This record gives sequence, structure tokens and C-alpha cells, in this order.
Amino acid sequence: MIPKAFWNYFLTINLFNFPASALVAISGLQWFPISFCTFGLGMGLLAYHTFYKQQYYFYYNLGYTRTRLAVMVFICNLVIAIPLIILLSL
Amino acid sequence: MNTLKVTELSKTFASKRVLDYIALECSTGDVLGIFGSNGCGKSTLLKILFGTIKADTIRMEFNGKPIAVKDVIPQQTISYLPQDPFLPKGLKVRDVIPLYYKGDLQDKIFYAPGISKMAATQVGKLSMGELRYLELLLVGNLSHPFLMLDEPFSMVEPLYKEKIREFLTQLSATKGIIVTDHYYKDVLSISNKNLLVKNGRMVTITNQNELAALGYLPAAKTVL
Repeated sequence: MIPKAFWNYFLTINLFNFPASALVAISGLQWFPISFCTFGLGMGLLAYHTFYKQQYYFYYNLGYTRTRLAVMVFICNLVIAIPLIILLSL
Repeated sequence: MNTLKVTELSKTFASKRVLDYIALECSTGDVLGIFGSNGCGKSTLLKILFGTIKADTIRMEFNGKPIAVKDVIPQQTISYLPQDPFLPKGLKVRDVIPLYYKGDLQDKIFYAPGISKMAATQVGKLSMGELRYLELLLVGNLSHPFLMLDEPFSMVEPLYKEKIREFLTQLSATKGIIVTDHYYKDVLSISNKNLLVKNGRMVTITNQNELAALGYLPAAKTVL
């Protein structure tokens, strides 16, 4: 089971990821789910590092390293993106 | 009984050697006070032990077995209260506590002195003292065998300082605690071992007079 604390991180990252990926989607809707796992996610991580760097200690104390958090967000975003990619390719 | 032993710890920033092959040991029951002037490397030392800053050299042992610094966070060996606030500011206190604890442990925080009155307040709207106390309760009650505190008494009103001292004294029965703060009287009142970081080296001290003799406090303080 994924702990509640992780979802707080996940939501904050994707709060930045979503608009970045929406911008990418201007060139074609099919790019949204791809950006959601790649470029947009990178933007989200960069924004978190810029604006909320100190909050990483919140997660460190729970045993999460930065890498582990990023991988977990990537996997969750992939789970969201794959059905979207399939849906948009129909 | 757990023991954390650190040896050969060195760190250089640019050409300045901040920590020069220092060593320290902390066991369950210890409250190790670390003093030193601003910029001497106290916070750097704690961050190195926690694994968020890389040392030039370090050897670390947990209960006699070597432990890599990169494993401190994943293995939950040390919990750490950093100098700056780290809780998400937009969440209410009552929403933050369940992110860290479940069941009875959650109740332990909610029923801790002073917490109920701030439960409905957003973290970002707490006073510095309230925030520091909340962060300390969250970090201190984790099951990690060691706890490191960077300036837990700074900007804290006397009432909360008293609560913090009581809490740390209670915690020291089950944990090893490393604390650094310029409020030396508060630290000395709870610590059983003390070190001063001076010119990159660790010097063992036993009382306030030695802090003055080594130049950390003005000499006049020893007379009063």
C-alpha cells in the first residue's frame, strides 16, 4: 500500500506537470500522456526542487529518498498515461 | 541499546576544510550536544550523517557494523529535524499528523501537550515556536533509533522550550540524540556529552566555562 504522505508529493509534482504537459499537447493531443511521463514530469520535479526543496526532509524522515519518490511518481504517471495513449490512438 | 560510531569524517568547501577527520559516538541514552560558531560546520556535519551532503571521507558504523551513508534514509536509522521548516505549509496540522503516523501513534501526537489547540490551523500560520514543537514531535516519535536536531530551541518561546526539553529527556531513554544549537544553556541542561567544533576539529567539553575558555562564549560569561 502506498502511504498517504506520498500522494501529497505526487499531487504537488503533477500540479506543475499538468500545465506543462497541456502546453505540449497544443502541438497534438497524443503528446499529452507522453509528456506527462517525461518532459512534464521533469518540469514538475524541477519546480518542486526550486520551490519546495526543504520539504524533501518531510519524506526523508519517512525513508523516501529523492530517487525513490521520483521513480514512484513516474510509475504512477505511467499507469495513468498508458490507457490514455491507447485511448487516443483508437 | 544501539550505537552509532562515526570516524574519519572530513569535508572541504572550496579550499576550506570545514571538518577535519572528526569522530563521534552516540548510543541509546546519550544526548550529545554539539556547539560551534556560525559556519563552523555543525549543520554540515548533521546533513552528512543524514546523507543529504556528501563527505570527502567518512566511516560510519551502526551497532558495530559498517553502514553506508546513502543507506541512512532508506534504512530509517536516523530521523532529522533540519534547521529550516520542512512541513507542507498549505496543510492543516490535523492533516499533516496522519501523513506521518497511524492509529495509536497518531493519537500520541494529537494528545501531546499543546497540539489540540493548533490542530485546525494551517502549518504556514503557526508561530515559529509552535511549528518547531510540532516538527519535533513528528520527527522525534518516529521509530528510528537515532535523532538529530539542528537548532530545536531557536526562535522558540520559553514555554515551548520547556516542553521540548521534557520531551527530549523522555526520548533519550529509547534513542540516541544529537543536538546542536546556540542556546547552549538549553542544550547543556539535557545533554550528557558535549563537543565543540573548532577549526574543523571536535573538542570534548564538560561545562559552560570550557565553552568560554575555548572562545565560543565571551569570557565574561564565566565570571557571572
